[in-house]
Amino acid sequence: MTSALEWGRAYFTQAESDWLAYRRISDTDLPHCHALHALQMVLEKLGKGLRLADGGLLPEHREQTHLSFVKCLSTAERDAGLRPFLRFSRPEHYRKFCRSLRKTADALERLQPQLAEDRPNVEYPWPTRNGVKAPARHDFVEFHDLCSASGARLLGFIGQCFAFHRATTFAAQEP
Amino acid sequence: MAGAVTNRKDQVVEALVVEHFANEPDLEQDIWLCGDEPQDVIRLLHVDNGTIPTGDVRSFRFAPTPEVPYAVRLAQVTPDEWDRVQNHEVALPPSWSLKDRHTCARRNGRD
Repeated sequence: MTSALEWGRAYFTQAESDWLAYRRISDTDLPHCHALHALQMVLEKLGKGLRLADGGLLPEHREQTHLSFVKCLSTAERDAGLRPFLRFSRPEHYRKFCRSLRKTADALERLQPQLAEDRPNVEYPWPTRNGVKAPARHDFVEFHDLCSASGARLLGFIGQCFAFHRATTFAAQEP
Repeated sequence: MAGAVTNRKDQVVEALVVEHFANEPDLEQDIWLCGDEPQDVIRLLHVDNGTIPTGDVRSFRFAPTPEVPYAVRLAQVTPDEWDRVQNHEVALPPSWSLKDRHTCARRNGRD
């Protein structure tokens, strides 16, 4: 039977690949929905991978759960290994940092169609007062929020998360 | 024409910086590294007391928007890392330069 750690590793691997896709897409001038979609995928799979690995998510529930990255941020606040890796000497500064990422991460995770329902999302058209709008034609406020100090902090944190968990949580050889 | 382009860019950067300072209490300086910057790109370096010290300078690119019709390359460093960048102990991303920079500090305004 496939273990939760194996599931976690596979999600983590896919999240890293999605992260590369995000970096590539963000080097283009494609409509913003594409970069946001890739980033939403990164958050979803990274969050699920880490929760599967730490036992916070059972493999059989992996497809039903949402907002996994934001849930992971709460766990990360108490992670005694991640804090020194990120070079925070004072726990209160580290907690403040983790909490400062939540708003942007939550907004990005809610861009997936199931959570957005009839509101703007990064994949499918949604109804408006005047008809229907495609993500490729929408000016996402989440994109503006990302191009900020807190957005750049979140992106930096994601990069460091991959480095840390690649070297620790998922350090053992793949089966 | 070139002057008009420069003025437009100047205004866009100014608006970005004002927005960044308004929303980010830990942001100490917003530095526009316009030396060697391509015409269609804005390179900003945030000296941010709330960010992670990574020991290097990585930039993230954001595609143009109707309000910001330039690609924005945004990098973040801690105040300590900024000292090290100025002492050439930490390198900027390739093709970035410290010459012709405009420094916007939270209290002192633009240099």
